[in-house]
Amino acid sequence: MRHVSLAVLVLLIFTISTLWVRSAIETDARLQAQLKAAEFERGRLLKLQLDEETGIRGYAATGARVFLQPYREALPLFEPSARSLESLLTALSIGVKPLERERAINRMWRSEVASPILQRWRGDDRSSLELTGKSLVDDFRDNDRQLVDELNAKSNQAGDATARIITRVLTVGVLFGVLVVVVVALYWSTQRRLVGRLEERNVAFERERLAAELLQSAFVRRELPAFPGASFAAAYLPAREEARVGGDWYDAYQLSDERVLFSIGDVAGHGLEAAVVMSRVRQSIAAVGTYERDPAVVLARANDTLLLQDSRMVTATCGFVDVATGTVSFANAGHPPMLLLAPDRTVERLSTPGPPLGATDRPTYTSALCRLVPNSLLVLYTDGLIEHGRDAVAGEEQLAASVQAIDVNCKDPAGDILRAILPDSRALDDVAILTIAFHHDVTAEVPERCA
Amino acid sequence: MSAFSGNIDFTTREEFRQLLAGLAMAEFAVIDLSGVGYIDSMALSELIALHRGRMDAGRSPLRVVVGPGVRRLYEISGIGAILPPYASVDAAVAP
Repeated sequence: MRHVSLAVLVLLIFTISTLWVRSAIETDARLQAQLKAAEFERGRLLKLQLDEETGIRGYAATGARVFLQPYREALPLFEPSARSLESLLTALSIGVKPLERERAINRMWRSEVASPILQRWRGDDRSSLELTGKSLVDDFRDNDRQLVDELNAKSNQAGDATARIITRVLTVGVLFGVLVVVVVALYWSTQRRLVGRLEERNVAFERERLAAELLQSAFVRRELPAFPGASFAAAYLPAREEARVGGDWYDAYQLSDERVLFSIGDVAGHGLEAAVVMSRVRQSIAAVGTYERDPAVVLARANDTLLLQDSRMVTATCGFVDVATGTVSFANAGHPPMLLLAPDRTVERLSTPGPPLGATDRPTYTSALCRLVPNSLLVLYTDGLIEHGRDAVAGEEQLAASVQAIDVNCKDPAGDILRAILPDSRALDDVAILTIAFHHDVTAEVPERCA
Repeated sequence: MSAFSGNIDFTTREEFRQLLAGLAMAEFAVIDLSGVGYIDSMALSELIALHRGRMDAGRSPLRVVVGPGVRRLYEISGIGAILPPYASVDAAVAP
């Protein structure tokens, strides 16, 4: 759009200058034509005066009327010629005073030289009349020269004016051209700088997004432990807006014996920073979990780690499951409760009180125990699964109903739950799900309810 | 005192943060969430940050009024251990 208006402006200026120069040249041509006509008319007027004088002089010298021929022919032409010259001079704004004087001289010459000679050509005072005539004609010539001078001056002046106009137009044109070049150059360089900056920002943004995704995919693709009597499954759905990669995670590590350390959590916020915090908390839980047996202590250590560097709040649930016995110990830090689907299709919420990680430097976390009986399913998830409708109570009810309908022995309970809750796979927030299905036939022990 | 209504999530983040900033140095601070239907974890962590900032500056603890809309979320989040929920503004402003 800006290019078009610039082009139109240039075209407009070009057209105006062209028209200006053309009109200057035309004015000049008209002036030159008028000057030429005036020059011609002036010459004619002089010639007519001389013709009249020649005729009278011939007659005076010879007395033969035949010599009066030029006088007679010139006589009626003088005044029309004078009038024509007068209008030309007026049009050229040249003073008509010399012309007026020429007319007066002509009149005087006729009355004081021509008439007396015509009436009595053999008069005694013929020589004095001739003298008067000569002086009058000289006078006429003087005025004529004056006219010649003025016409020449006018001609030069007009040429100068035209040259001046053309020079001015050319100067303006060149200056404008330079201006346009400068403006266009400035515009282009600014444009290029802006585009460059925008690209830089896009690249930085893209880089952060890729880094955050990379951090997340590092755990999403991790192999989950597998046992004959217990199977782990997980599902992960990133936020709908790709740039809002979040800080959700899940983990399940097999420890030396038949114990598995599991955790799930959610860092408040999105982006690279959230992903980095998530990574740190996960590593802390995984590291402490290898030697510490109390989940509440594992969370307390993760809280310490988080408070060392970050002010972010993280919710998490972590625990240990003994895949031989089905015993689960767990602790919770502000994370949504786990769900336990029993073989009789009842769904129970399992949680312990505790603030989110990073909220306080003196948190109190508590651990609890529960026992998985064969054909039961433990479901851990992040808040995206129950808050997608912005109503946590309704979300929890919907999730409980979906879990109730899950086949414990199916291949991918986590995926089934995700598809049941978010069938179009679109989420405002990240969603992570971890399920632990217990198939083990523990007939030796009496199943207990959860602590 | 600040009262909020509607949903508090990433779409209202900056606004929420600015309103909370105004309470950082007040002698007493009450936040009324009884008109709120949803609050995300980031906004809850802003509340915790405000509370911690006030405690560090020697101000009174932040008091939060929680209504039915966010009661369950508040409960799940466990921040009641740090910011006990008040049932009404009257209860929150009582000495």
